Amino acid sequence: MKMQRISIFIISLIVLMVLPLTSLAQEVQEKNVNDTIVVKQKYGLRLGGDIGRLARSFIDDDYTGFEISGDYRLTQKLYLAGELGTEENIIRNDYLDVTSKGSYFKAGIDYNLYRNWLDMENLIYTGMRVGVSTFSQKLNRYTIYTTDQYYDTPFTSTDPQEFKGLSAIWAELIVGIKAEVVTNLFVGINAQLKGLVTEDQPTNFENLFIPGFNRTFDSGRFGFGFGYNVSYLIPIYKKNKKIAVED
Amino acid sequence: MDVTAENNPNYIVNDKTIDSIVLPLRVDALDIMNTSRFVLTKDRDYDLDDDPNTASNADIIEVNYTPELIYVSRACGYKSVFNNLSANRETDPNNWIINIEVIKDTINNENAAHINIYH
Repeated sequence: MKMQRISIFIISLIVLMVLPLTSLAQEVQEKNVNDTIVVKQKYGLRLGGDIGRLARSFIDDDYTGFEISGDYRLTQKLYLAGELGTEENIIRNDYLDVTSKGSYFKAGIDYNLYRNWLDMENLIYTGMRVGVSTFSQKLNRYTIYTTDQYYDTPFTSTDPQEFKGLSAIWAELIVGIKAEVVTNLFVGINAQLKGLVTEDQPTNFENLFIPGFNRTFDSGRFGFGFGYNVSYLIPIYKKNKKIAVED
Repeated sequence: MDVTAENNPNYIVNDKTIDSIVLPLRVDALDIMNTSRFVLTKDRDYDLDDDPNTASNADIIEVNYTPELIYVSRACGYKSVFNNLSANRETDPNNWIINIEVIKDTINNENAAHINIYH
């Protein structure tokens, strides 16, 4: 009985000592045969909404807006992407009170710059969009600009004037991130730099806010925008991703 | 000389000797004829005594114009230019203004003179 115990101990010792050798031999062999690892990646349609615009609609009385976004994965790094939204915004100052209202559509591509670890699918991306908006601008009130304070109140018109059927086209550069927080559920933020290509200017007025483009600036054709979105990936198929094993 | 708008207690010019005056034009309605009336009073400073020879003399001028709004920018909104400018002096028994004459009938800046008043 005692002898048996000893022999088991010795055998297991030998096994323990030999095992690392064999496993080392196996690793070397595998390296020679195959230097990549294959993982599965999900391809499909990712649909989401902009929670930033939704939150602002509740907080800001002068704003209501919503945007749905979607992207479709084409290759390892390239995505077809687009947004569809509607916005209503009021701009008020001492001399003007203007409501801009309309909807917009943006389409383009996203390119993932982030090299994921194994099968993870997070994105740090840059992309381009072309945006189109149709909207109207309503001049609710305006007061004549005057530097002379002799008369008590300058002339104010409260007779609303509406400029309908306006449209604008712009191009966008986007940078952003999308992180998978739960399986298939992504949260992301992005920033957009926009350049106006064409717009319909109302006669004797100008577009102060273009839905989708955000506010305009006197100094030029550029604009900025931000997005905070939550999106859900609907996987359609899976594709192999080969990862090179480095020494 | 003193200048006020008619029925307005505030002075545009108060007891000054000047060769030009800047009159603020009221905008009451757009695209139709608007009128501003001004009271130009001469020798108001001699009114301290009761001597009728040195009494002040007030003449009323009437300026008519059609305001037109021009969009400037998002910060300033609209400014007004004045078209179809005309001016006349109200005749009273003792006018010190001899004649009034419009040189330019469109006002789109505040730098040049648009009306000549002769006295």
